Amino acid sequence: MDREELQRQLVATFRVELEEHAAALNKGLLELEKNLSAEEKDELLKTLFRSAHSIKGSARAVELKDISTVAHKMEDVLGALKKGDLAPSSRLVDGLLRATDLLTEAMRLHLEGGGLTFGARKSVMSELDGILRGELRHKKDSREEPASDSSREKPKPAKPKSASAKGEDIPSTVKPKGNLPKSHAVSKDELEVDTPSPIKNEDAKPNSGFPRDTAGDTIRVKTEKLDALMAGMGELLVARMRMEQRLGELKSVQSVLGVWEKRWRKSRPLKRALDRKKEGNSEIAALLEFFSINENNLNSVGRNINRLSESLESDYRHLALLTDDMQDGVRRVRMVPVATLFDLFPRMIRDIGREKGKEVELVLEGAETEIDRQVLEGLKDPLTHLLRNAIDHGIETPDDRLAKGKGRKGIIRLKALQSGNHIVLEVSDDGRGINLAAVRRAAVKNNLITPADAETLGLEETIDLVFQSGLSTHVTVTDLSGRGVGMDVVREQLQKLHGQVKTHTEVDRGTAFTLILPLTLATSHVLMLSVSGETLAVPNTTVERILQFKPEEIRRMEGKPAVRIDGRALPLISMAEILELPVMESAENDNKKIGVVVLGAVEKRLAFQVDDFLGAQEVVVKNLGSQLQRVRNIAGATILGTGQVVMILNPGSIIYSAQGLRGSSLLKKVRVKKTVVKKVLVVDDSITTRTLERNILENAGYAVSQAADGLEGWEKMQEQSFDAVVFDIEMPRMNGFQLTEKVRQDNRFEHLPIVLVTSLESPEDKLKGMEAGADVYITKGTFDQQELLETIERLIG
Amino acid sequence: MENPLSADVEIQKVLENRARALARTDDAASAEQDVLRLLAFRMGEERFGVNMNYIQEIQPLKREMWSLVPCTPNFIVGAVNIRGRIYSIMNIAAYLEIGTELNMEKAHVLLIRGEMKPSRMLMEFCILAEDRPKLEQVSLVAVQPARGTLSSKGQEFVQGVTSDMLMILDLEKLISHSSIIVREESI
Repeated sequence: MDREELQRQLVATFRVELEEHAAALNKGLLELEKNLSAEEKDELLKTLFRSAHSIKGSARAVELKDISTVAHKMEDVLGALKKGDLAPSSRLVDGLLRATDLLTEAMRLHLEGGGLTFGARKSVMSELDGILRGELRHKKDSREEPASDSSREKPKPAKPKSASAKGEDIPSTVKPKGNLPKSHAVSKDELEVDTPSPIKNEDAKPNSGFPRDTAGDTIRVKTEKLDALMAGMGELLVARMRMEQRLGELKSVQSVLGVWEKRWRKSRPLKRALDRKKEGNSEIAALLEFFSINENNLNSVGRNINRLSESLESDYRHLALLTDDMQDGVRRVRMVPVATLFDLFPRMIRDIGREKGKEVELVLEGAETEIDRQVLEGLKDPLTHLLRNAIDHGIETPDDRLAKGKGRKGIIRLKALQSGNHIVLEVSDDGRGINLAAVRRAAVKNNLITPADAETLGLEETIDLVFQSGLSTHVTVTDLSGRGVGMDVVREQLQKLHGQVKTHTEVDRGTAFTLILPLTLATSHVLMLSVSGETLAVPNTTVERILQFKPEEIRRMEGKPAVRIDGRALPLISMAEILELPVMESAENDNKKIGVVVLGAVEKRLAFQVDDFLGAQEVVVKNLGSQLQRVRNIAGATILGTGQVVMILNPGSIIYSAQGLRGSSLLKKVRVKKTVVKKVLVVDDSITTRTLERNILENAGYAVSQAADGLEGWEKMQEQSFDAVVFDIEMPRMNGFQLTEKVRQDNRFEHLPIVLVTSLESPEDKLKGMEAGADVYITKGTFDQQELLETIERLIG
Repeated sequence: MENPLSADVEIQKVLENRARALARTDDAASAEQDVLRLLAFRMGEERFGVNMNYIQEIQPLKREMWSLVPCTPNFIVGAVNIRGRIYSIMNIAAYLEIGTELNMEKAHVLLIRGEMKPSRMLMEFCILAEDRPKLEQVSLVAVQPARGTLSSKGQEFVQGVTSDMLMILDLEKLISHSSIIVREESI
């Protein structure tokens, strides 16, 4: 290959090497700031020095001089540290961190065809110089590394004044320029990175074939190859499913044959009877002969098929074991420890903490937990955002914390662990917790909910608001956090990964976000459903409950279908409606049970009505091709063993669609002039409420009577008949629940529409109301003119 | 009285020019100068013809091999499995707003593959045909401009009409057009 090609390849390899070393430097430098024992520190410094040293040498080999220069300077500083000439102050660590950043920046610029600007390089170099000189404890006559250019190694005498040297302030006696030319005038010795140096360079050289790590035996493999392998494995799985399908078909053939054999056996007596009569009739004799042969053949074929089926089944089982093993193996190859991602964070936390004037410590747990690379990629943004949020909104300033009796340093904990088929990640802080009231206020301000809604929002729903875009409780917009965009990203990403998030927050104690994700995305365990005659799949990780209800068990809540699950009332949404599929009309007297699946995504859960459940299986997830790039409610598709294409649903998207549908019920309807005046009874102990309700109803053309408590209401109902009744709950003498039950117990009022209007908003009360026999339960918080009116209209017209 | 015909005349002119341009275009697939080789198929009352260039393959559409894709625009029929890969099925008639009822009994799909211009992104999808597409030779001389009665979309993608009322589709344009892509903003 020609020189240019070689150079390109070398640079590509160098780039990977640089990334690794930079990561090691970042991680190690942060460690320096911690309290380490003498040996730990020694080891650490050795490692850091090695990294800088390697970069210097390799960069020179690929002729990236600016990178080499900076690395050389870092090597100097680290060398001095190693020897004890310098103390690891935070200024020093800052300087080295900045230099590391410069290295990666330089690489990026080079790849784009440019290079570091002189200015950028100078500022960092001066900084490092300042550190070297300003904090040099005592002179050193000579250095130990013969690999370095000896002409450079004259020590600079320490000047007490220069202790004040900060970055750009270089004492006039020593010109920084003095360093640079000398480092260019390099001897050929410098190129040999390992030989004369007492430090063995075990790190990768830029021109080796497959660079090897010292930590265990590893090889670097291009991720494309892994992806191809994974895809192939997926196809193997499909082929295996097809084979299973064929086995099934063979069994059908077997059973047909079995039936046929039975009939033959039944007709044997006939044959025997004919046998006796065949004398003298050659045709019958021939036919009977044929029958015998036929029977033998049939038996023989039957035996062969049985034998074949058995061996095929045993082969299939073997294949299944092998492919399972292989699939596990390939899947594990794609797994990387979360440390790969976690390692990015300490640096980020440190930088942001500094920026915000907060002291934060990031505690990592379970970094060795393995996770599919693709899932890891998808987690980068959400985790970054949650962590930034924790520092921004969660952790208080040191003074605030002390005032609260907490330690100065805030703790942010990032934990990973594997649980069955899932990986669980937790981001928690011991800060001020989420201010739910502020969230609600901000939601109202951003027109996400009405002020009335805000009053009745429960904990889960409020937290869910946090995940919607457009929300920012922070007064000033800070980067990503304050703009209210970030949490939306978290939600979307988690949706894509079929993940769930649970939030736990306590004022002044802190907040914890728990993310639950499937271990891999390439294949998925799905639940198969039947909706409107279509077969659909839903990821198992999002299925919370599978239930069957009798038609009578479907209640109504706020005028819409609802079911009771685990003591709570959940709205029941028609999956067919969400998916814009034709709704199957079931026969009037069809007593068939109604299938309900509860799906959860991010923070929400809803119940969906489906036609049937068709079992669960593992499938290979595919996308829908280049034309259908993003379809709402649909996550992807899969091909079953039969060749059938089945859509895989996206529960997060479905739940959001469902919420849209629920809102649309508040469409303004045209009010028809009533010819027959309908009568409504309003029972409430509050005069204000009674008056309000009466006005609303009378304006719409109803005749309204009032009562101040349950007992009075009951008495009024004895005097007049009403078309509908509206009860408050909290009333003296007889409350709304009791009144409802009493009304229902009376045969005359069996079908009388009862509306409960109250400020009691807990799910238990709603349930109680439904069980007492009310038709509709309206909470006063969400109570506005429209809802009551529409409810009455819906009930009685 | 204002002249409502002038707008139509304009349109007609544009279409005529286009047809003429098509007639003059060298068709790489045809050996002779004056003949276009097209793959012709039927959709409802209409017949369409497409250049072979972008057609990857033709497959009969078996009932078990395809499914509906819910929540997609009306020009998406569903998705089909061809040799283990999933492709969307597009209804050209619906897309061009020439509404027609579908009869899937003898349906076939034409697998289209081509690069979008200018992004060079690979586009693969199927077009539905209600019958088995056949090769037809069309004399260029016989190509006329598309009917002005077509919708705007129709006018954009139909290059011309033959004497047997075969509408010649501009596949190249179709592939590169962003409106055939379904990509919802927020899900």
